[in-house]
Parts: sequence; structure tokens; C-alpha cells
Amino acid sequence: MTADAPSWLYAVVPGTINEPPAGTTGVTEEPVRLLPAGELAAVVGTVDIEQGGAERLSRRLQDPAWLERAVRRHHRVVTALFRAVPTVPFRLATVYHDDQRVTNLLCERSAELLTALATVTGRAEWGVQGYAIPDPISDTSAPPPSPSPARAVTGAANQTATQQPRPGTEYLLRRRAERSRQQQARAAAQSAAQQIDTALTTLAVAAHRPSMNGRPADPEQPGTLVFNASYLVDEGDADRFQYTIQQLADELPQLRLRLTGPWPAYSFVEVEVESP
Amino acid sequence: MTSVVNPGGNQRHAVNPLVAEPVSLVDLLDRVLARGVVVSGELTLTIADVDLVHVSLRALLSSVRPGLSGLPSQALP
Repeated sequence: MTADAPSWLYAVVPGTINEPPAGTTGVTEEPVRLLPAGELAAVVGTVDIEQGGAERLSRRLQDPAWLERAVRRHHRVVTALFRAVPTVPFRLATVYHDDQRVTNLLCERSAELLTALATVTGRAEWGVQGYAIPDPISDTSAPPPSPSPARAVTGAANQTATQQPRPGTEYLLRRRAERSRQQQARAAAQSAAQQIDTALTTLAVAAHRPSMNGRPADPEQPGTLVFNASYLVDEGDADRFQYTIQQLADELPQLRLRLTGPWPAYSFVEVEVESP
Repeated sequence: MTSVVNPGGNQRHAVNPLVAEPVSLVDLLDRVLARGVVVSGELTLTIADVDLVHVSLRALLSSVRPGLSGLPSQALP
């Protein structure tokens, strides 16, 4: 049994909203609609897929170009809502057979969804990243220092080993110095990360600190990512939050700080809802 | 040196929410693919799996040439 007109669920908003922001279209450029359910409303779109339903949608999502377009359009819907009302974003590709099943979800899970809505109301998510600025002194790609010129003058073929530079020892010393520099750099990055997190957590309602392991490097950002976190901040504290970032940047010249936001609170609505 | 990037506005400290601008793809994928409410919907789609997210991120980033990722979505084929 295939779903020929599946409902793509973008977000849940308060039931008091009358209509979605004008002209909002979704991942397949379909118009976005509201499904009211008591104190909540679901924001959905009927995804226009021909026969094949879930399989076809899965295949499209494997296509990087389609996936990127879907991601940006999903986010565009969520953001348009976020600018107007408190918004609980759903993960990409939450799809139901039809509108009725979405409404059922809202009724059956109203408690969790109302809690999520309360969590995001009057707040926004801010992303903070710190990139280590490359230090030219510890740049391991620099060529090793050449031997002193005085040694090179006597270029006789039978030069004895004790008068030659000792490349093996030099190499080991250089390696040891480099490891030491790297350890210092790591310790400094850790210290900076702690300082940033401590300062920002006091201004936030909540913090999300994902592991950086396995995170692909962003080709648009130079330097090494050493700090990556999101903070849920009351709207009234946004200015102070931004000001604090600026202060931290002044205190940590070895890092390039990057602030993104305000985001809809994707990282603070971790509700796991099993389908009924 | 800091920069403020508004996923819905201009790159400046005073946030203008009405101006649309493409967001960094990695920042976006981090959120839209890996976070948000997770539901076991009726149409089983594997995109919500975290490992798949990282595979998708890499595939996506390798398919985007530097400089092109800043184009608005309407410009994509």
C-alpha cells in the first residue's frame, strides 16, 4: 500500500495561528497548510510524488542536489514560521500517509509537544563555533632549517661523520618540539572552549554540545574547528549574548569565533515520538 | 574577530530577519538532518539515522564546488 499524497510535517506551532505565512511553499514547492488540533497546529505540505511513494522519496533524498534543495526549503518553511510564532521544528523527512494521521499524532502526543512548544517560546537558538587560527611558527609544513653555512664550506668527499650535521638527531628534536607545541595548542584550545562555554551557559536557558567527532569539515571555514555548541537564549538576552561573544573574541585572539543565529530551536526539541 | 551570520538575514550584528540569505550548508545540515523532533513516521525513511547524516554530509559537500555553495537555492538545477 503506497501513500499517494503523503503529508510532510515541517513543524508544530500554537493552535492560535490562523494561517501559515503568505506564499510559503515546501520541499516540492507545494503550498504549506495548517492542521489544527486543539492547542496545537501542525504545518504540513502534500508532497507531490508520483507512484512509488516512500521509495521514490527515499531515492530522491539520496540525490545530493535534491537533498540540498529539500533541506533549504524545509528550513525556509520552519524559519518563516519562527519569525511569526513559537515553532517546534521537525527533522527533515517526517512523512505521514495523510493529514489525518498527522492530526492523530498531535492529539496523542499533545503533552510532549506542548512541553516542546513552551521550551521554545520567546527564545532562539544561537550557534557558536571557534576556529583555531593557524600558527605559522608551529606550521609543520615549513621546510626544516638548512645546515649552518660554515659546515658546508669544507665540501671534501671524505668529510668525517662527526663534522657533518646529524640529521637523525635533528629530526627527533624537531619532532619532539612539534609534539610539545601541539600539546600546548590542544591545551590552549581546551581552556578557551571551557571559557567560552562557561560564559555563554550563564546567559542561556540550555546548551547543546554535540561531539565534533566525525563532523565533516566545512569547506567555507578556514582553520580547525575546536569549539562547536548551540545555546537556547531568551529573546531579551540576545543582545547581551552577542556582546559577550565579542568580549570573548577580544580575550581569545588565537581563535576565530563565529556566531550564527537566530535559529529556530532545532537543537532543543529532542522529543522522540513513536508512531501510534 | 567575530562574525555574526544570520541564517535569515544579513551578516551584521543588527539582525534583520526579513532579508533572506543562503546559510552555510554544514550549519544547516547539522540542524535539519540531525535535530528537530524525531518521529517514527509511517513512511520509513532512513534519513534520520545519524550515521547516514554524516555520509550524506560528506557526499553533499563533495558535490558542491567551493564558491557555488553560496548560491541561492533557486539557482540549483
